[in-house]
Amino acid sequence: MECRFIDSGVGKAYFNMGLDEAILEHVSDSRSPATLRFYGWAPRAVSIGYFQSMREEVDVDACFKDGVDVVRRITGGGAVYHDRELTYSYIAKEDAVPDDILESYRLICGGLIRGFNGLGLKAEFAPLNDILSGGRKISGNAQTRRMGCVMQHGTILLDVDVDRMFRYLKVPSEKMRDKAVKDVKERVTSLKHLTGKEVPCGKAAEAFKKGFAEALKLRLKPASPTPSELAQAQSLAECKYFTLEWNDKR
Amino acid sequence: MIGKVVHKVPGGKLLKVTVEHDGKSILKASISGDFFIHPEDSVDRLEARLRDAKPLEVGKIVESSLSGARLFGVDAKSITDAILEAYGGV
Repeated sequence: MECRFIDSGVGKAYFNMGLDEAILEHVSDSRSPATLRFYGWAPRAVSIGYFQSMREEVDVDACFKDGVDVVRRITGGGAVYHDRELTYSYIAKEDAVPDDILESYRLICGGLIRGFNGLGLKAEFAPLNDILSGGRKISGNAQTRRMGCVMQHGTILLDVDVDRMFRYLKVPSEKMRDKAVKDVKERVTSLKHLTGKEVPCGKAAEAFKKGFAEALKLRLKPASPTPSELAQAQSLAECKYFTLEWNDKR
Repeated sequence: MIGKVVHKVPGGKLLKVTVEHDGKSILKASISGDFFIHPEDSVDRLEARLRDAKPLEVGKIVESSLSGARLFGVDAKSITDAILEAYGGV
């Protein structure tokens, strides 16, 4: 299948989420083809799932103090601290993936697994929506189905600083903070940890681009977002993803 | 009165429900968690329909509100049970 490949570089959280949604709408009404997009986050950010409560999951004051953006996604799933990572989104008409949601996660995550393999690492899909390497989580993924399309986005951890992460993510009980941090340190890993060295973002991107192309049988064509997509993304960033109405809706 | 429950759905995700009620009917219900439901705004509509609902009506309201939705990491029965537990657990 023909598919655009967009490397949109690093962007603000609000714009990142706006561009994913704008591409989704453009793919839905066939103004744009299926799209694989890679991006990063600057400044650092915390995103929460559509159904999560911002005040329950995130220390918004700590984020504000440290210049960390906070944003609600249109996908479900959990809270994510976005720092040293490569983020992807895959957006296509719904018939490009299995109707069964678990099987569609398995298919799309297959691109990530091939990418990890290309970097010399074994990895496996861990239902419902994670990828493990060495028995520890290295990628989390979230999907939505809307307007006849599937959109799945997710993280590939280049490096992880769990102590810093928990400056911004709340734990169920402050009494259990130390245990929660220790548990996550034991359950989460990164490319840097597994390979013993920094993996440059560009090298990781090449591996995962190839992985997605193979797993999803995509003929990737380098592209940029269209002016219409960029305009809609900017509008969504300003009028939706930046607003308290959206971010505090739960 | 406000009741709150946190459930780990077996084989699924975390489900958090807060119910505000007056002992006769639900005044407000909030359903949150790290689960997936497509379309996502089904849950917004469910919460709206739970306003003024009696406990006996909850099961039917959840079923009908989510009838066309795709649920992943959560199911309608878990949501119903959590709402009723939050209602009764005040």
